[in-house]
Amino acid sequence: MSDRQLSDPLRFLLRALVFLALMLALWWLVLLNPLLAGLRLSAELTLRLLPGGSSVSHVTIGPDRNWTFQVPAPAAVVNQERTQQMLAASAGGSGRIKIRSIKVEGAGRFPVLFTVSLPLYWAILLAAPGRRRLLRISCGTAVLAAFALLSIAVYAIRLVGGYFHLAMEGLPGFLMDSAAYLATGVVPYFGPVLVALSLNGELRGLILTGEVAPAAAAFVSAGSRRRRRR
Amino acid sequence: MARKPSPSHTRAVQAEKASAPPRKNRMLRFLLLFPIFLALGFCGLLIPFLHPAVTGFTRGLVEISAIVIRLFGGSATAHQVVLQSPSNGFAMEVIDGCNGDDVVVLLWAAILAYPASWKQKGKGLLTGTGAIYVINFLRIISLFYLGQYNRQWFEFAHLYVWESVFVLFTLTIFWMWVRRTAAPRGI
Repeated sequence: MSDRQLSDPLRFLLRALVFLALMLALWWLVLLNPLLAGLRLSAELTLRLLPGGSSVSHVTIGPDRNWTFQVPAPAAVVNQERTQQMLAASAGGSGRIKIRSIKVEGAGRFPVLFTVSLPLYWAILLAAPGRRRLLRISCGTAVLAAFALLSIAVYAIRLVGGYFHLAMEGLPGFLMDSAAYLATGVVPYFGPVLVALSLNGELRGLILTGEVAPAAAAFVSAGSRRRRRR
Repeated sequence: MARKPSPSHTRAVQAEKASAPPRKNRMLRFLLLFPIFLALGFCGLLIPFLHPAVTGFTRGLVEISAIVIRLFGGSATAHQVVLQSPSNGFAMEVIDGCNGDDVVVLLWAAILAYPASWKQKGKGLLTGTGAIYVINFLRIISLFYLGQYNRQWFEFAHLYVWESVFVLFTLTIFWMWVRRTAAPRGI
């Protein structure tokens, strides 16, 4: 394998690892709390805008970073016999029980996980060749923030389902499990790479065709100059 | 003065030009096929009847990790998918998402969607998968020691650092494969 064939990918990897370390530090120490606050606000607004959502919808973050979702209780679920028995047992009474909303709490590590895609995305874009970095960083951040919001929605649905002991079976169960798996294990890590490759044509061209676009030429020639000097 | 190309060479070049789809079409083909293969790969991982195979693989991974740790003088025991330190009781469970399968699916989808010969794809799949699993071994063993040292650092390294690094490694492995096999001929 020639020097050139190996050096561009390895140089990219080294640059990306350095930027990743810096971006992770920035994210963890400075940006995480504002990001979580923004995510909480967006989640609450989304809940209120959804059909059936109302002023009862709240999302709060506790001091232990756990998230509490207060959502309107779905009538179809509340009126089920099994749910009524469960509610009656916990309320200690009998007869039909009506509830307007429910509160469910979930571990704070998942919402944090949904935002980790951002430092990875920034590291890739900073390490990659290309012009208009700021614009691409802004666009990609917006796309990944939307993914994070979707992931929060999936997380909240799982929590509510768990509260009512709803066992989804068949296709709905498979789809719900898949959505949860994608939200927690795939999107936070693969999303940034796919978004970066979609938005950065120079990086995409460099990887897929080996073509050096004008903006990527500087990235490649910097390595070539260094090799010539040696 | 340039040498005039022989008629057979000219015919070969013309045939190559006629048979090769335009570069843009091939790029488009990759961009269409890649998400399809990626979705198929993840569906494969999620299909319930494949779970025993995936769990069996994870169990093997944990067993080998324990053996490697013991070979280098450490102490570790494997119980199903749990890697445990007998000295201080620290135990970590390697779940399906932590066995490197997700990243292998990403690499396989990219290699299979890329226009290259089946031989080149086969080489890429084998060496790439091997490289990923070697990196995953290092990851599991490093996390095992980090967890015994500091739980908070373990969480941070497990959820944020290693997973991100893993994806960057996979992207680089794919890029190196493209450079080595297909890029010199162009796509």
